Amino acid sequence: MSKQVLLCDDEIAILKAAEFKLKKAGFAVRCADNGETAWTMVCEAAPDLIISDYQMPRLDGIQLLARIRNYSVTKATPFILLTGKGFELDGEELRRTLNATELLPKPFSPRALLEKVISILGQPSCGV
Amino acid sequence: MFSRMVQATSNYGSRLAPAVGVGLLGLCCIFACLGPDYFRGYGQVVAGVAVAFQVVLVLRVTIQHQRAVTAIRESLVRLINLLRKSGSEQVSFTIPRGRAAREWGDKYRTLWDEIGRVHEELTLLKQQCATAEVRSRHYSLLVQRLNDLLDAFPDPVLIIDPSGRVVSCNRAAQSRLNIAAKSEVPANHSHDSALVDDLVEQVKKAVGANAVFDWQTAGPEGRSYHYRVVVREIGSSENGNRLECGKDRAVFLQDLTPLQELRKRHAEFVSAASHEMKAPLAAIRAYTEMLLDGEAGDEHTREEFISTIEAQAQRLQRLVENLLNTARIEAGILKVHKRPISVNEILQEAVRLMTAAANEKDIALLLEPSPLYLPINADRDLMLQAVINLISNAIKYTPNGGKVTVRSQLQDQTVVIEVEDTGVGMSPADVTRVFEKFYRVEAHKNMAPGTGLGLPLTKHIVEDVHGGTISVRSKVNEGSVFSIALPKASAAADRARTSQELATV
Repeated sequence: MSKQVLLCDDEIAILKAAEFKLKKAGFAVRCADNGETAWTMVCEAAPDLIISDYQMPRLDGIQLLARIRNYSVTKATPFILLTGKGFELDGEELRRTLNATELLPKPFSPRALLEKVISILGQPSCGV
Repeated sequence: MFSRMVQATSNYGSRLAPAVGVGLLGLCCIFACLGPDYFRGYGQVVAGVAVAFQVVLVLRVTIQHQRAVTAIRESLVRLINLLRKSGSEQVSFTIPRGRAAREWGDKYRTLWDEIGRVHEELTLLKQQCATAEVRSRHYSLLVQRLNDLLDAFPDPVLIIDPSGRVVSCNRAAQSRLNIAAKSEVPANHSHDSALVDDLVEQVKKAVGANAVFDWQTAGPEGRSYHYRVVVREIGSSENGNRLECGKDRAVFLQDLTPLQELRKRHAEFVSAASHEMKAPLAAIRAYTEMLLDGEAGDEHTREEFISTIEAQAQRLQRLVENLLNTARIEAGILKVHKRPISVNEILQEAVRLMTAAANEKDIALLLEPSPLYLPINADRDLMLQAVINLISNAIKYTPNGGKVTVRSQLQDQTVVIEVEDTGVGMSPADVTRVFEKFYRVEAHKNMAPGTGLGLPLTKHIVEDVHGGTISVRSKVNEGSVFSIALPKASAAADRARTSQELATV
């Protein structure tokens, strides 16, 4: 069975690019365009990896991460935070307090994102 | 002084009558003693008659004198009253006619001289009083003007004495520092707030006659205030009758709070602008890389990637245009090329450019143009930017599946453009501030990225460049309607405006 990745970003173009890249690599991808929708999806079925933007409507990436860490099922689920805001976020602080796995600054390379996902989840079971 | 003069006059009169009496008595005695014997028998009789006559004379003189004194005393009293009451320089009075007055007129010359001197003194005193009154009014006016000036000063100003007591302060200080002016006497300013105590402590710590330091504190409404405090020693070390050592200190509080807020908003703007730029840049980079890696296996996918890159590049370009035009406005140079143009054409172009962004959020972007030809005298690019900014805002703050309607209509001779959305709306407080530079509605900050430049720039384009007006009606959770009103270009004006207009704004 394919590893499940949950993508969350209010920038639809970026969401679609990441979805395309990961799906093509063989991962099962679900998408949400805001934090609240992503949280609902997490509760419905816990993914193996969550990739989320930081600045989003309704529930931002850090608030989403905090909820995920407080949820017993996803307490240790890997989390990649994408951000266009470089200087407000302290990556070390986020890793320490909320156990964020990775912090990926925008603009990011889909290739680099895929490499990170593979390094965390391993090779997908089947490619497309 | 007048009483003393009357008393002196009275003494003089009382000495005169006995002198006359004694003189007559002496004459009778000499006549009786030195005369012939023929007269000696009657001498005593004559002497007795003389004494009786003398007594009568003395009594009469005394009565007349008393009457004269009484008359003069009354005259003097009237004179005094006249002098006290009269505002004129000349004072006249009348000595009652009578024998006493005629007889002793010369002898009272001293008295009149005295009265004359008193009158002169009074006149002089009156002049001095008038001068003093004029000066007093002048100084009162001066003090009032100084107080008014201090009260009109928007920042707090205080004077603190060496013991740390606030002896004077202006109205701004009273309201900002919670100082109650319970009396009109400046020295009695009372305060019960810890604010002033804190400030006084800081001022006491300040070293040197002229100190400057920053003071951050909470204001009466719980807001945080940031002040630059300038302390200056004023006056001499001996202030009035006070015995304290040292000088008073004037304390000027320069409110840096708006500047701090502006700096904070500016920093947020830089962060937001970078985020705004990074988002389309990230998409462009991602799709370009995938194209280069040959990820797009078929023609359809390749075209989809390329059109996404195109849309994101346009988005980036719009952002850069907004930033550049804002910078041009701040620098005082914005080139404007006005010409008659159809409003409907601008709206069609704006809607065409924003359809992709609306589709991304599944928002219905509808155009309802007026059936009339509505010409406006406008700079096409700037007006297009203004309309796109409104549509872009409407899409940002409308949830997925909502509706944005763009329409044009003619109201009297005014062309009205409306952009209506079914979005989250704004509170009345936000509506009043939404056109401020860098201002972003706090409740919706996380809903969409933004720089807070779009609406201020749109307002500037509409109102300052094109002489129109922009307004907004909004209801929370129901949506907003932004309206642009522009004067309709006349046909004659259309023909006249053949040359490009270069305006400096």
